[in-house]
Amino acid sequence: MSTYVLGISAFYHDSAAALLRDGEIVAAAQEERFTRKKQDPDFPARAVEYCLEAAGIGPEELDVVAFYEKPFVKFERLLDTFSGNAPSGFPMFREALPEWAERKLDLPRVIRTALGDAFRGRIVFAEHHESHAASAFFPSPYEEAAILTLDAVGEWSTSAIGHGRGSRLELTEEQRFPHSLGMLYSAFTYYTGFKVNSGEYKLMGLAPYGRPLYRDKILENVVEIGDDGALRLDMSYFSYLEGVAMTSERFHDLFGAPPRPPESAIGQKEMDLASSIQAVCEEVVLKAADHVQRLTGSKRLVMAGGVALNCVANGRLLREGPFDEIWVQPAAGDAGGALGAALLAWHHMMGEPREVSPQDAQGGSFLGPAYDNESIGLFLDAIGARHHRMDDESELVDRVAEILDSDKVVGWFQGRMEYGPRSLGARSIIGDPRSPEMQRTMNLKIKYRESFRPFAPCVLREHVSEVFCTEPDQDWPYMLFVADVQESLHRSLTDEERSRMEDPDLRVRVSVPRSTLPAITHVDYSARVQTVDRERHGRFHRLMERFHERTGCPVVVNTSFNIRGEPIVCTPDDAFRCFMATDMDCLVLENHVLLKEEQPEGLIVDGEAYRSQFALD
Amino acid sequence: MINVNLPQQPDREALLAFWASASLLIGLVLGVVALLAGVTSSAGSLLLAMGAAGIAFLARRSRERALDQAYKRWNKAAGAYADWARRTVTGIWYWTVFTAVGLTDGGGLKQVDSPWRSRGTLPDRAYGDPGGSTTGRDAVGGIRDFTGWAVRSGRAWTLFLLPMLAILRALDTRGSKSSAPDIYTLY
Repeated sequence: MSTYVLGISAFYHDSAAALLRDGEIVAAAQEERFTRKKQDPDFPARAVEYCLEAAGIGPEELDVVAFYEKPFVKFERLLDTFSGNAPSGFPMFREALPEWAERKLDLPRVIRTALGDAFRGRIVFAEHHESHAASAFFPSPYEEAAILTLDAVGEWSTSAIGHGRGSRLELTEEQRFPHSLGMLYSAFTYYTGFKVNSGEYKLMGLAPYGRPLYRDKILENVVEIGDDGALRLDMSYFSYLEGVAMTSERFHDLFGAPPRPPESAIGQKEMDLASSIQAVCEEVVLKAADHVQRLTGSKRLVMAGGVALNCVANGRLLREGPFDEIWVQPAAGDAGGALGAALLAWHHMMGEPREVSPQDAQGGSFLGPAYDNESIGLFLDAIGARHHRMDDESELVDRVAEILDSDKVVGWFQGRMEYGPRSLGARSIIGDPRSPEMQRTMNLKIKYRESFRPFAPCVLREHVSEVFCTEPDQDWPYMLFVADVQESLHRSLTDEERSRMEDPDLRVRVSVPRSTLPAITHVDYSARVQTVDRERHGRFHRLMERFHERTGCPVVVNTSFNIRGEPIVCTPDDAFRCFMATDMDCLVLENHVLLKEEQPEGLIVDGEAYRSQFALD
Repeated sequence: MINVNLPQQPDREALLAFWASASLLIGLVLGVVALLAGVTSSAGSLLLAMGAAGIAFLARRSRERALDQAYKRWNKAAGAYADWARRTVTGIWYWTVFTAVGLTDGGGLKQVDSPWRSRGTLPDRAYGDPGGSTTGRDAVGGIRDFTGWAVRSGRAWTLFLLPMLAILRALDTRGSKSSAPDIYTLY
């Protein structure tokens, strides 16, 4: 009889559930995909429902439910923070306490109520950074590895280091709140006018436009970094302890202005701040990595925690750091804590052995729901959509490759949904990276977002080092590392193009084609690379192979299948509505191909009404 | 515990229950007013109250839209009351208990030092507890877990928070946001 362990993360940001059967990952998904509320913090009831359905079980068959952190330890931090700040800090206290009273201090009741009377198993509580560590180490392809977790904060820890071997991991050192690399980065995210906890990757994308002019000022005033990567924030520059805003008046005085209002014009100052804080972040990560390498002697590293999503820092760490190999949990943020908690319960609490998979146990991170052709066909017929069913895959990928080659944008919906913040070829919008117009088209007409960010490339793994400065056959299936485009693909800029690169309008700068793959090349020639291989990616790999045969280009643009502020699509219905509300040209739902120009007028979704459903992130 | 906030999307039974309660309230108020005004005796007031309640309740059946509006307005008022009550309750506790603890605590988090510090990994028998305990016992939920944690962690003063937590729970948190928009969700 199988043993089922359900992991849950909830109540902060990005709730999720993950299910193990005899230690193997059966299913995992984020709640936001089902509820269509971005970073939904509520109890992941629908994600849990999906996981149980995927395993073909009910709650009565669950042996253990593992929650990803210790709520009472977190409550200790809350008490210490508020008693330390009282009488100031009341607004945050007033907002936070009701949730604790209602749910967070009574999680066994909340979980048992959600699962119903049929559930008779144990409820256990892992520790936050141990959950991150477990999510990084146990699915990795390494028998042994150093562990580094970095985020804003869990209960008390803001970062932790340790060592994993076999079916055990040990965390040996930590740093504690309020000294946090994640909070530091989020503070600059806020100051430069982006939304906290969702805008950090935008700050990362802005960095190449600037120069690290403020790096020294940051290091002399705001944060002190030890040789071992330990950091100490001067809290007088921050006001997140009082709960008013991330940064204080002293911070604003230091950088000469109040925070940039959201959605206002981005100036050179914001670009330089982005570049500066990115440089500081990379320095901390490199030093911390050196420290953990010295402590463990390992040549392999695994990482998790929200800061591990900083793929620019990851790329630099791999190039310049002491490790030969690095594996980062694709769901490195709190959603991955659900998986980590379940794995900790299995390997540590239940003492079960671990089988190391040479290609990792994450399965491409395709762990969410899939939909069959019959139900998709019935859905499309019911709404009156015009679609072509192409059960011959060769014909299908031919047709889609042809569409891509005509400079058209394709919504690609195949197989199981991704687990983690990135689209990896299951719920993706794809296009031709050679097109000089593709970046602008996708940004403005499909994503409705700021245009300074390039798109990410998918590349056939067998051709990765021809296009990017990587090792031959580099295995990067999760879009967590940045590498430069090969110099042979760079374009020489004309004088006119060079002057456009200095334009204060970033849309002008980003429109300058810097390589033969302009849609995915950033202003500093970097790209956030995802490799696509036969074993993990199946049909997506075959599509890219056909596109390569047709055009000689082994790369496609891959962006997430959503518009700005919307969770990535989950169901065919979500995908169809997004398709009809944007300027996508073609939608492929498994074997069903839909062309925009063939769709009845009555099915067109008003773009503005569609966008208004989702708060800007 | 009676939740102050009613479901935002009531079904027919919830509306019926609401109107039955409201009718009874209308009847009682009218009966008391009549008694105080000397219009009727207590028995007469009781009859008046029952009659008014019955008429109010039966009248609902022909005024669905009015019922819906009344429900929404009542819920809005209840929500406003709950917001005010939450602010007041948390304010009282914050400015008394937390300020007192803070004044005796000496500085709070700002003075925490920040090098890498040693830590261990959770012992296998500690998974059952939602706090830092290694008793090997599983959580059962509710006050028992809270009081056990308060005593074991040396924070017995948090037992003074129990009345506040109980009141907040009764006031319901549905619809209230759990964090300020410009701050990372720390709690």
